Amino acid sequence: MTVTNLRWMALIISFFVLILGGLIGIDLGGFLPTYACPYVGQTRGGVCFLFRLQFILGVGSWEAFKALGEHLLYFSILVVLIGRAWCGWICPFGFVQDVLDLIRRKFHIGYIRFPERLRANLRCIKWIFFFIALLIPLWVAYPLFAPSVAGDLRQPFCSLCPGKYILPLVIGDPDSVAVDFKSATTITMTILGLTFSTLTIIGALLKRRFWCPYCPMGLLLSWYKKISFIKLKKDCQKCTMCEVCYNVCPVEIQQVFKERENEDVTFTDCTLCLRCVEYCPEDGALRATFLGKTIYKSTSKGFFSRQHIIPAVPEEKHQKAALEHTNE
Amino acid sequence: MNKEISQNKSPNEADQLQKRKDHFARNLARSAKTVLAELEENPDLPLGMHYFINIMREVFVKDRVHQLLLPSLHQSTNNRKIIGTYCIMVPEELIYAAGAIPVRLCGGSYEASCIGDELVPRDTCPVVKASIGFTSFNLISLYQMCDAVIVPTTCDSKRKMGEELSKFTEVWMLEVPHIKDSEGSRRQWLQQLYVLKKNLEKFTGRRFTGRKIRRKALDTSIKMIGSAQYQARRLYEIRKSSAPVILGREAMIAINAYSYATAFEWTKAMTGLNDELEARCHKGQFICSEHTPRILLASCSPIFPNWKIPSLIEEMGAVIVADESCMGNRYLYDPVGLTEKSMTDMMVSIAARYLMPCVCPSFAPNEDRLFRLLQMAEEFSIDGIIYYVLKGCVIYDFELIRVEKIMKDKNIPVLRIETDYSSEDIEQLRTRIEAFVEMLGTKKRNSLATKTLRF
Amino acid sequence: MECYAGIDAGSTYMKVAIMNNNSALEGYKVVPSGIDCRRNAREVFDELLGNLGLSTPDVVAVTSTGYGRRRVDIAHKNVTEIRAHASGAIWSAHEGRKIRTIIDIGGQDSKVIVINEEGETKNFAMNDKCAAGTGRFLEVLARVLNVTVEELGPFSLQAESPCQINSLCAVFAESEVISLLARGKDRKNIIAGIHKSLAKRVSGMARRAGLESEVLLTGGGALNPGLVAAFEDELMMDIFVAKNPQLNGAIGAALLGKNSNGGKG
Repeated sequence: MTVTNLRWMALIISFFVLILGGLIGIDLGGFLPTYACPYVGQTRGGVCFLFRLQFILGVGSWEAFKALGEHLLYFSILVVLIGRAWCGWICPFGFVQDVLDLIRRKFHIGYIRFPERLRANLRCIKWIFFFIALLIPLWVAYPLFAPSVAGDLRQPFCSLCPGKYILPLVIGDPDSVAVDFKSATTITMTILGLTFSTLTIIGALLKRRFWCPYCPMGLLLSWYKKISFIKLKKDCQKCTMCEVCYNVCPVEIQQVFKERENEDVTFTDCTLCLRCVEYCPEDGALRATFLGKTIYKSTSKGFFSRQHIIPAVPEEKHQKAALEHTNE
Repeated sequence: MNKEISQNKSPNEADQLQKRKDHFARNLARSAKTVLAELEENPDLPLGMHYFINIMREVFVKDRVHQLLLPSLHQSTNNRKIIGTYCIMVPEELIYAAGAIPVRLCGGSYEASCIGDELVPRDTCPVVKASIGFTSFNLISLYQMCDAVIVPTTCDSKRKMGEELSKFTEVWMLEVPHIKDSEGSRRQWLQQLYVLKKNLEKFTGRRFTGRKIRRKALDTSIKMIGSAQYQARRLYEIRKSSAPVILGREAMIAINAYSYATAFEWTKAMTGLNDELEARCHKGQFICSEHTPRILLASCSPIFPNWKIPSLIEEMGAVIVADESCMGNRYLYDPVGLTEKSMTDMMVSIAARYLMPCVCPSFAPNEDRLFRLLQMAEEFSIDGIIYYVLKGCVIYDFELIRVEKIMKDKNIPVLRIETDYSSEDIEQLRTRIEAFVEMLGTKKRNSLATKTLRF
Repeated sequence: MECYAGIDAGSTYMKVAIMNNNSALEGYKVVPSGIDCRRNAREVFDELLGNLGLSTPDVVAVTSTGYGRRRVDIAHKNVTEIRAHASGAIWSAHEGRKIRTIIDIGGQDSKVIVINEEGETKNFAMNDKCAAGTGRFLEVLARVLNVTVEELGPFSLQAESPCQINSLCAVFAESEVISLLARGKDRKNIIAGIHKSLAKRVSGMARRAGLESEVLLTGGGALNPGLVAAFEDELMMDIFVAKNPQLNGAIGAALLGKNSNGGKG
């Protein structure tokens, strides 16, 4: 089994657990570093950390902040454990995007790639979302001005987040895409949110993992990349700069093939989907490590079997078994 | 074809010309034959090598490249175009997908370079001289049978060569950017390939219906070349073995033969050769001992029939285990990495494969090459590097200083050799190469002795 | 008596050296190479043995080196000049000298060999193709200046202000010298300039090869004190001239023959 198939399995399982797990009584808590959207209703199997963060900040009491500290601790442990593999292997919203991407691929339509300049300019979006999620709840808690507006701004990022609209829709809840006519503020927020959702659906059909570079959760997770247990490593001498890793990368990270000095190539946007390791044609040029131990590495034979030039190589199974182990 | 020469000549002049041509062609056949005979003399020659040697014989001695590339030429259905290519930046996948056959034309003949001498400046490299000589004089039909040739703008000589060749044949220039790192140049390169694709479609298509390069056809041709590359990589792996099972000059001929064969046929033969060599590895049937100095032949390409340097090195008792020439290891090393089956992705992947991992010194900065060399030196346990510079190849010569510096840190001696296709300097070269090999041998024996002492 | 012979069949001269079991030089002979290397070697070798009162069986090993090494059929084995010079250097150097670099100015080539403590070659450089930086360069120019090669050294030491010779190519340098003569320059200054030019060319090569001190000068060129002085100026270090500089290769070859036969006898 290839890493890609394994990842699909992980994504499908976590989608069912996080979005539909509530049906069989799963509750994984409110500190999950992934889009475990509470707006899907009772079927949810956990709650997104950003939702709880905004909620607690919005309450603004001392007890709430203490609870936040506890949440943050659990959150950090989870992130340190597997880093942004949460995005690549677990995130239900990532799964939805990947499904849309699969549809594109089935129709043999090429993907779009943004120019570097544009990408650099769009980089600020996740920071804007992050500050919205951080500062507006404080305004809600302490409405020093325009209290009426503030009152309608509970869960501000959630109202903008495409996950809130798309994930319930995916499990068959059309009400989620309705505009909230409660006040001018809610109308604006929901219309913005729906716009982002539409953009993301169209975007994800044309561009791989369209939403991920703008996700504030991803930003939060990327801060742990230095201490996270899972890392992407590169043997710079073995690299031929063939650019394959860039072409397969769903979030279009160039630095991996351009890096010439450092071994650690876990970059900010990297969702640890390990497609680059899978497709790298050089033996041992790229590898994924867990606590410094190599769990998966690139092989020339692996490359050619993935290109359907030679039949699949049996020894790969061991590598993947190791990986599966660490992911559970 | 051959517009300039055949025009406006009196019968007498034409006769003279024909005589001259015959003279050169005879000499070419003779020197090619000598090299092939030398190769065949080796009692350890793998059986699988005969196919490759035969290709060279068909092309250069018997001049029967037609039968090689288009065995069923006389059938009316088969009117496949043949496209000549220079350098390694021309995507053969596109040519195959368009239903044409690519042949690599970079010339290695001393005789042809003598003809070229009269047509280009003195300091031009012999590859360009030979290529122009071949094209202008039709020494062998290989050059004449090309319906068009694609010349990438790599180094100065090749660029101007494209212009000169257009006097004799249809030339398409392919603009290769010289800075790989920038996004702009990569986009421009992709654009160039789309233009090339369109040109190929127009060129090979029927007059009214036209014929587009289909997604499936491109995918098939990528896979076909991918298989060739897989076999080339197998050979590469085999040559890493601590005691060699094949001589470098043989392995290099095998890769070089890809230029004049169809990928499919070549892959079949290469698979056979690799199987044979792997069996040799298992049986311990080595052609020389572990103590033989292992040489990395760096820089310029030995191109058949100019087998002067590879033969000399191995005659002097060393073995070439690796080379980084664009007619050797580098020719078929980097594969196209498809990630999905869309036309966009195929074109992007092809563009990436032909530009990014290429370490031709016409790129600047070209630090990648140093990394490649270091990696090769390690992988192949190289004892010494022979830095082969063809006269006039300034850009390879430029990088010598960097290569010497990094290799000094690794304690790997580097010997620079500057030569051309002529055989006049062979004695001087022999002394230098022999002394170098001798030095490496002493060093290797000593280090092995200290190693065994330690254990 | 057990002896070892080294035959250096160079491009200009053939040098034969005979060493005894204690690595002492028994006798030697230097003759112009001539056209038939094989016969020449035989004749010189026999003559030398006759002079020394030795017979062929006394000579345990004959080792040849130099351009004609493969043609010397009386040799038991042949080695490259580089190896022969490296091996001869330790012997040729005067007592207490720790030679690390050998500069050999031969008739048709010049070489720089960097060796380690054991006398093994670490690196080497040779002139590429033409006569620049070789003995031939001096010969050609000596002819133009109407002096013998032997006179070049003493003349150049008398020079007050050496001329500048820019060309490294023997042919171009020749015309340069002729024009200097036409301008009425002193012959001594021109000769000093020639030496300087040659030293410069070879020093460049030496630096590329990774020159280390101390430096031993061998080959026919080392017999020329003007050239030695020019090298000292150019490299700015002491240059040691080998004992019997011309014989270094032949001695080295003989020693190599002795070492490889050491086990047997």
